[in-house]
Amino acid sequence: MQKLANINFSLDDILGGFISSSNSQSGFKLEKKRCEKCGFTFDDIIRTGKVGCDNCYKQFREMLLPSIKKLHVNTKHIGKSPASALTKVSSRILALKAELEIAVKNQEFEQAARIRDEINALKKAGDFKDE
Amino acid sequence: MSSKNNWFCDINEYSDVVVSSRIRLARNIKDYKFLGRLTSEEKQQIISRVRDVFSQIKLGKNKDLRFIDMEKISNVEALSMAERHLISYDMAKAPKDRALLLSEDETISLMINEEDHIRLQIFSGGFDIYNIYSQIEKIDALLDERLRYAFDSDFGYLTECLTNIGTGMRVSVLLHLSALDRCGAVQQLSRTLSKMGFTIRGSFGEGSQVKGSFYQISNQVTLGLNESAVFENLKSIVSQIVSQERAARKALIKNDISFEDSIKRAFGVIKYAALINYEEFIELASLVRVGISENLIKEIDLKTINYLINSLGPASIVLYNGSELSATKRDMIRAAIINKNL
Repeated sequence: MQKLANINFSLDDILGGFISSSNSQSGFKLEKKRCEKCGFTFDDIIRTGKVGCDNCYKQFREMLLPSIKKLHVNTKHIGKSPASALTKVSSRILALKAELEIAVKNQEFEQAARIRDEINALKKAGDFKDE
Repeated sequence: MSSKNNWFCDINEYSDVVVSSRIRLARNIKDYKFLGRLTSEEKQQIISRVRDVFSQIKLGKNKDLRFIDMEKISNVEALSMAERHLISYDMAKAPKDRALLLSEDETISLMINEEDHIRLQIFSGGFDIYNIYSQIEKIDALLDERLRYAFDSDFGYLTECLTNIGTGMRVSVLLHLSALDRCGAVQQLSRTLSKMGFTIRGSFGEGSQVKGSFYQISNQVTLGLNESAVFENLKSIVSQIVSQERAARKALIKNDISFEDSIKRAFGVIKYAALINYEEFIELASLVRVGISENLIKEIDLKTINYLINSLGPASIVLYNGSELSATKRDMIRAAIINKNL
């Protein structure tokens, strides 16, 4: 099959341009500040369309926010969290809650009841207040 | 070559329209920069750390993970995996410092150093996202426990590309929309889906050259929606599409004899052709697939046609043959394999 033209819109190029324009509209000045972990500047993120490391998200948070706002529904994560980011008990409760939701969706009610009991027991033991 | 026991051939209640389901999680390890900023040495460290997580762990029957160094397998083998949707074409074409953990039954594929440190995928035939999610969650927890993920309480799981932050989760279903496509409804569907945060694209071929009316629908947004909301939205979208496609198939067969004719002719061609190229086969297999689900064709079942669709790509034929082949020779072998399965 013949291609009509040799045009290639790379996602990285488009994203880079997108981050740049979202940012200038918000009135930020491009800075030469470097990320302490990976050495990337905000310019580098625009140039490559890629974030350098997890610390860039901290360091360039305000500058990335306008693009994130446009790309996603919201700027606050409400999905699950990794256990490593939580205390032991609360993470177990969160994981169980996710399992519970799935069990209810699948109409596995016995399984759901068991999970519900485990969540309650954990809350009681850890003196967690129900939300 | 894969067998009919492969996940791609598993059939459930939506299988006449939903060919397969997939969930993919993008994850990065806290201790390292993202891939674009890593040296080859650091990438190799990541490979061995991820590999180590599974060295002591049994995931269950047929789920044992085989380690594959992408640099040590042939290009044909890698491309065959991409044709069967197990890895990305990017991964197949650029193997440097990349590795794969693949379960025996090929339902679990963990790409190391693809676009993020970890791209964990689980597949299933038919519509099966809740079951896949419960499996993927367990492996995800295991990886986090041993490796510690990069995570931010506002932005969720952190990824190299801004489009994946949040849940880092992409849920996809492969749909067979033969009748809706014929009615010109897919474009309209595409507009509706994009308003709901989902995208649709052709699974074989690109743009206006989509082959066989196979389309993949995936969630686009990953931040600000939780996993179960994405599943719920997708389930409701898919069940509506399935009933519309079913209704359209019935209506076309009832009112348009040329549709029934093309289905039956397609079967005639795949049964008797001596040469058949991949694109032509996908187009014909799509019609035959409708014929099977509408009881117009009884000589072959859904499982078999799924198997053929999934295993007859050019690289898979070369791999099956064991050495390089001319295009004509490939088309000959493909026709022979189809013939053997009818």
